[in-house]
Amino acid sequence: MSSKLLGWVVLFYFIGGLIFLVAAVFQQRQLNRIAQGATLLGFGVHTVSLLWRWLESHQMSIGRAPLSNFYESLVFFSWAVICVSYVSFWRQGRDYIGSFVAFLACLILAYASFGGHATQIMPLMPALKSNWLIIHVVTCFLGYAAFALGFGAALLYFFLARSANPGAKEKDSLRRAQELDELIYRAIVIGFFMLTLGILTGAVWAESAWGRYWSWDPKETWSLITWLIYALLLHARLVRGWQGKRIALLAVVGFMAVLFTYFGVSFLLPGLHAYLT
Amino acid sequence: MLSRLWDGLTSIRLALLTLFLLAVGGLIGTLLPQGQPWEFYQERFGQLPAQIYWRLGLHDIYRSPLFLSVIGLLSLNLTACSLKRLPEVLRLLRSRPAPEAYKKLPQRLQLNLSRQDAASLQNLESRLSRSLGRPTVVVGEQETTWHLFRRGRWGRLGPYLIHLSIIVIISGAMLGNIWGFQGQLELLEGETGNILTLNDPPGRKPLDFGVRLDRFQVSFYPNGTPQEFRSDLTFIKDGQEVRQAICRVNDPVTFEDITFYQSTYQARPRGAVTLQVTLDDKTYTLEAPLRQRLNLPDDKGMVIVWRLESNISGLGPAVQLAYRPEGGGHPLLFWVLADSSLRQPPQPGPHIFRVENLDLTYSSGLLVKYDPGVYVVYAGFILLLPGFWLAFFVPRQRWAVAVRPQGKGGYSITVYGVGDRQKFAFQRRLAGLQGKLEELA
Repeated sequence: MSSKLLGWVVLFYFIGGLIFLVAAVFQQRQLNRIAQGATLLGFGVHTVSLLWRWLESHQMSIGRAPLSNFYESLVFFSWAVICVSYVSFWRQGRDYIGSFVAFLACLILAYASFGGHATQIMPLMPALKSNWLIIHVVTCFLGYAAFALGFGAALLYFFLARSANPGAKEKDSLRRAQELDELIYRAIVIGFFMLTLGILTGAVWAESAWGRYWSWDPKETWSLITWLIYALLLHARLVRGWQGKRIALLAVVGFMAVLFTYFGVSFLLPGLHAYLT
Repeated sequence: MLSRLWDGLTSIRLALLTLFLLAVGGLIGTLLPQGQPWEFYQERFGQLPAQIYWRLGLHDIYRSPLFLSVIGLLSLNLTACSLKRLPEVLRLLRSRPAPEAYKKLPQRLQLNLSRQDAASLQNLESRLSRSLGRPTVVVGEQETTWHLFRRGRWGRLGPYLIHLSIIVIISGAMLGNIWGFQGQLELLEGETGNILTLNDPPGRKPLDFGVRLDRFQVSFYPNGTPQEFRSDLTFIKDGQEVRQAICRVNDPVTFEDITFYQSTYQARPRGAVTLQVTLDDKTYTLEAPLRQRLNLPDDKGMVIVWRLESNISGLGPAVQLAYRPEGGGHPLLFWVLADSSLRQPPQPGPHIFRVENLDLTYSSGLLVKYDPGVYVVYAGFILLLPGFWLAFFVPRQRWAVAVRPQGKGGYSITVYGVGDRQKFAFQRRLAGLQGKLEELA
């Protein structure tokens, strides 16, 4: 039942993204608020649907947070993208970046709903039955979502840098480039913190479930690779003073590593996290 | 020479390089199959590449000298950087703010107090310190009183705390690798064991106490997948039962610093499985112990009880038989459900098998480990959190509030300030200050 609601959420996010885009292209600032409203409405319904699914699992006497298969992780990822964007960056949640965020959430959710994944609520295997499940998955996905936002800002930075035309608008696009640069940095700090928490909670959980806090399982290794790339980015920026294009490029590379950690490892490399598929 | 080495060790370049090399190591470790025998690499990649992989240790990269030395280099780099820069930071933290530097900060607010309002100046200091903390007060030229504030200066320690916690984590991992061990213990119900099977390096290790499996229980979901399993254990030392404990998945038991994890279980028959065999219209029974080849009567083939499952697709226990009829080639594998009232899976024949009696028991697979480094690693984890907080979330700001006497008993108040890249925090603080100062007038 709860998954039927998600069809509406996809629609709301799509409409939100579209209005953001119109607002950006035709420079209609007042449309931003409508777009924000549509997206937030979708976010509200999305939240209800998550809670509802949790309730449903209790009614089926399985009783577990909706965070433990590929479908559920996608639905939560989509939720986290909006959550991170609008809770931490609501001031910047407009125009192109708002459009990117809403379309991204819409796309992930559509892929989750119509991609042919198993959507039924399945009982948990014993190794997953732990309170660490919720905190581990939530921190990891908030991290992924923040990195997605950083990625979006980096793409926009390239787009802006290319289309920057000299003249009256130069000052305006310079200001926007600075804003985006700032946004990339802030998103990545949040993502880095969340990913670190995700890795730590995962390690503590693995220690109590498998007797090893670190076993070089592909998922672990790739999350470490991702962490290293963003650590590199932060040092390059804070110590070496990198800015602009080079940081944006690293943000794109980092997000590629995130995508591989999330999708690539699940489908291509065998390991302890294989139950995700 | 030595100073060049020191410069190299403390350089950010080395830090970036080691981070990059670790990422490359992880990439190789996940893309190149790990821990396979030599023949595997030879067959797959050819003689020369296989030899290169093998020599460099890429087939077992996480334990290769190459990878470990990169981790070592990173630890050295982190330590050296801290040693080099920390004294300077500590000196900066302890020093009093220098007024000259503060006088050059950009001006943010300007406010004039007339003679009538001058009395409220008394409250100025307490108002300011409520939102900015304790000031350093300096009296400068023209009887100007300077209130200097440094906010979030402890944030400077954040990076050092993060680097320290990473060194702590690496040391904890080293402790575990040097003095720890990990092995398996498989016990049948009622059995007492004290010898571990180690995998790495392969071997056996006796414990100085015994563990008895009193009872093993497993429960299933309706679809037959395991819901939970647990072992009731008794620890026996010098012939005495010292402690009883329940070991579950996700809920390990520690005895004398050695931790027991419930990892697997295996269904086993207690004694032999009683099979009922029908050929044409003759039926007889057969006592079949696990994994033992039995000839069928009149030499008409053979059968082995190959495997046991305690619950198949929710249909209860089942026995897998390997069966070869007379003159047949390879043995045929198929399942027979223990509950004969259920519809049975198809059998090849001509013999038809039923399970007449199956007394099911379990062996419990325990993972046993000793790791003196875990708590060191956890200490590193905990240290990391304040480190992150200080490094990324504490805004660093400097403020100066100058009170200048004007003519006719009035005063002018000027606020100077600068913040780091957390602009919102700075603007919020500025707005707050403005409100507070306007109340004075």
